[in-house]
Amino acid sequence: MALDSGLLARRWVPFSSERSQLRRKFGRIRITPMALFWTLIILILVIPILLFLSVAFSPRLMSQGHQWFTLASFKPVFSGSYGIALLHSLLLGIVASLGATVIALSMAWLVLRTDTPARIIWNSTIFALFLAPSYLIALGWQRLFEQRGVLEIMGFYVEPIRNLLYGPVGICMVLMVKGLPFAYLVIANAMRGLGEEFEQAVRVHGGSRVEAFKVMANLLTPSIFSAMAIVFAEAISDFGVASTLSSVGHFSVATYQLYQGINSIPVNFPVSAATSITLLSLVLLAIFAQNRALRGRSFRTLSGRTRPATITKLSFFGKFSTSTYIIVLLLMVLGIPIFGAVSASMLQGLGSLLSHYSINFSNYSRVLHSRFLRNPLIYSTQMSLITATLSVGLAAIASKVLTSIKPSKSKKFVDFFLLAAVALPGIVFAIGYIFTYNLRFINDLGLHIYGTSFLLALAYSANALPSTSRSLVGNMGQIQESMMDAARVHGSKPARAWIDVTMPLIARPLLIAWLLTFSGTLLELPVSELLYPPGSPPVAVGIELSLAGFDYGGGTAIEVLSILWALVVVGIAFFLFNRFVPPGWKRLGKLK
Amino acid sequence: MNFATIKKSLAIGASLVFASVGLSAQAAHAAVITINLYEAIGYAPDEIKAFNASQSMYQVVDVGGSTGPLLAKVAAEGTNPQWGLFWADGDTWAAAADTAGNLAPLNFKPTYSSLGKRLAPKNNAYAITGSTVMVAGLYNAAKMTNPPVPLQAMLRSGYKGQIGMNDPNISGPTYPFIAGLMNQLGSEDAGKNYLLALKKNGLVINDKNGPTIHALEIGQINMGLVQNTAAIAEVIKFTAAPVAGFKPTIVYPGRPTLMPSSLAIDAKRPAAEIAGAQAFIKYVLSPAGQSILASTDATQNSDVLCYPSIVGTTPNKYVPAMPKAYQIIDPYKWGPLQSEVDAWFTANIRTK
Repeated sequence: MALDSGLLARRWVPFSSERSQLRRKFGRIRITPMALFWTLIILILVIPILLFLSVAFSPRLMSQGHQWFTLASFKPVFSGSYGIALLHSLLLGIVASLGATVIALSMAWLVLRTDTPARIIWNSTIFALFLAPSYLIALGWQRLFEQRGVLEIMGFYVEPIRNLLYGPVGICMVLMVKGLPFAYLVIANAMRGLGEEFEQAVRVHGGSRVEAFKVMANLLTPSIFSAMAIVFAEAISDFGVASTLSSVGHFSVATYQLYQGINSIPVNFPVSAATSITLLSLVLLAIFAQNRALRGRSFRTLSGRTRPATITKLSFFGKFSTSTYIIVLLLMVLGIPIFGAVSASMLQGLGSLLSHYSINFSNYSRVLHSRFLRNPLIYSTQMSLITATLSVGLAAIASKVLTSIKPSKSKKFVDFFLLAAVALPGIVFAIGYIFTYNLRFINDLGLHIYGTSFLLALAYSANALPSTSRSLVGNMGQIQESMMDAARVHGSKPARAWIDVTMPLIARPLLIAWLLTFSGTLLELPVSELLYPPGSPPVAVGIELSLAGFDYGGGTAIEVLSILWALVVVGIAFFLFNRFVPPGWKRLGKLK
Repeated sequence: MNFATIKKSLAIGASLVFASVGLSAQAAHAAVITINLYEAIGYAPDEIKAFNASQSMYQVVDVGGSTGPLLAKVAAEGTNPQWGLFWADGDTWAAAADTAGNLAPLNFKPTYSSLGKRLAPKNNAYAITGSTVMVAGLYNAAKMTNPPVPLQAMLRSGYKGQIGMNDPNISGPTYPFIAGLMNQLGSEDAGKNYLLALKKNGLVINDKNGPTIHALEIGQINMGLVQNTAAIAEVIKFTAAPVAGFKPTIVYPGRPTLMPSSLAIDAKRPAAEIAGAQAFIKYVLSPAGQSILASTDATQNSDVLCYPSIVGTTPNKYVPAMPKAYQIIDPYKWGPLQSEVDAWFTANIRTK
């Protein structure tokens, strides 16, 4: 496959004829940022994924069996029950991604384009939403609706809702809630880059508010599809939520078989790889839908002349109804996980409000001295800082490739592998890393990076890259290339032109992407568990070990403290951004 | 220096960082003999700390996690393993590794108790550090006055919808329970039929011990079939802070299975590391290593609630008497059946 020929390496003509032969030889090759980008993409994304998938056909290649070529691992995949599970996963992905995107679009419009009073609460809680682990979301819903749960104790008849919750409806809802903050950030970032001129044009030509909204939604198509693609991929790779909420409803999903292969003794990676290939076929469907929708259209709306958007003044009824909508949504997406956290970490007694309970902080005071908290949290924070910085750098380039107008193989290549990394559960991704970086011949070269913080940072970055890139796609797709061209014509070098022209336009989205990655990495479990350096467990592993020792209260308390710490970092980052970044960099998204 | 040269230098610098991280990791191994211990045992960090303090030749490094992901890590490492020691609940994994020729047998005979001798492999391929019971029937004595003790009693209509268990695909210790059911009922098919009958009688499936015990606490079920350490932890909790209407009590339905904790050495490590691994196991099974079981606070670390396997070891004060009747299953026979049984459970019990 030809990857952007010309970008990988360029011939360089030396100025001095006195250079040594050796220097001249090396001097002919110039490493470009794109060359570095492609090298990293191949090393951290493509090879680990391909090596894992290869064991479905060739178990012997990675010492996972005796056959060089076989299709036997696909046998369970072609069973009727697996077909149904795969269909379930597809439907879950579609409904969760559609739901999350529609809600996110409405929220972005209300928060960024209207004067609804509740928008302030939403803006200050959005990162808390992102940090809420799906475990706490599912737990909160369970505690509310379970038999003798909070609502039944309060006298509500909730059995019909409970029956819905423990099945596809409940799973979809939790996945939708989990995907909502990401979808919101992607769409809101892009909406900030849309000036008021488009809405005004519609209104001047006699269009209604609804028609203006439709035009705006159309211009946001790349970000909408970006959000949908990630929520879809996250939903089809989910295992935890589905297994928690399907225990009563007996609802099967495709990842169930994948985990069965991994949990077997001996471990059966070929079957897990075969299952993963079917999940990736669903990703291809998502990419196909996205390409069909975006084909041949330009969404470049961000230029030096972009005008600040105007806030729509709502009537009293408008303010009341939209604020009610935001508050109800917040109660659902944030209140319920908080309730789950309180229930699991502060409620003493039977873990419900049934009888004889008390609420206190004893678990919190206890875990402050736990070996699972302090050092693991410091280590995770360091790793998250490195990962966020590396990922945002790579994502800026990846999003540029993804938003290129010309259809190219490199664009499809990056798109597929980025989504594949999301659609494959984290544990599979980590196993691909072990396959790749624990190869004997790599060790023989003197490279022992498996079991080091270095490899963990690379794996975290690769894991975060899809969502980080997608969060920038909306903005990168809006930037008009002519601005960079103008800067270059006026003598700026590429890096200088990028800092002077592009950076001010995407500074805020870059900050948000950085925080998104930081927050997502801090509590990441599957990759951490398999790749952490011996003796240095990240905080997510500490939480897991606490829960494994039946210390549910202590484990959840560590989780809550880690979330609060992440929110502190988010607050500091915003403070520094607002205090020190040049005013021009903060202009994007400013309202009149 | 022009811009191209700077970029080239940066690229070379990045390559050097790549290489140096790997090399420094290698250099760190040179000073003392380092052995990675992959473990899913709550008190393993205390054993490591005590062992490292007791000598200066070897450094055991902790790689803690859950049993499933750790076994996946070992399998992924394939022919280039990085673990020196593996310690987790169960012995089917150890038997599978032994069958594949991946274990270095112990070079000494542990002073096993009579129970330890029954659990230990005849070829001394790995060490048994203790055992727990799969399963204990944890029931609410305030509501269930007459818990089912024989297996067939659980199928009575009086217990319809009152019994819950874990999913063996997610809860590692649940497979030995199912294998034990099959063993005591005479065949794999008999065990499957029993589970189908239990399901017909309203069996509630949750992921693992935590959710099953919560279902018991809120009265969704009145008996949870869970690992005995989880059950004991619940009894300890509510003995210390009683709640009216909830009295967790343990009964052992049928003939429960004793599930050993196994500690094994990777045969593919260099001889010096294997020697260090042998020394570590010797330490864990020594009076000093065994004393950790009694001295650790079981309310914070439930893995010490096991039945010791070494002569003269004092169990933790919270460990109750052993079940009157119990069985020990052959891991070399039942281990290889796990994939098929788990898949059957998914298709017929969990998702149907």
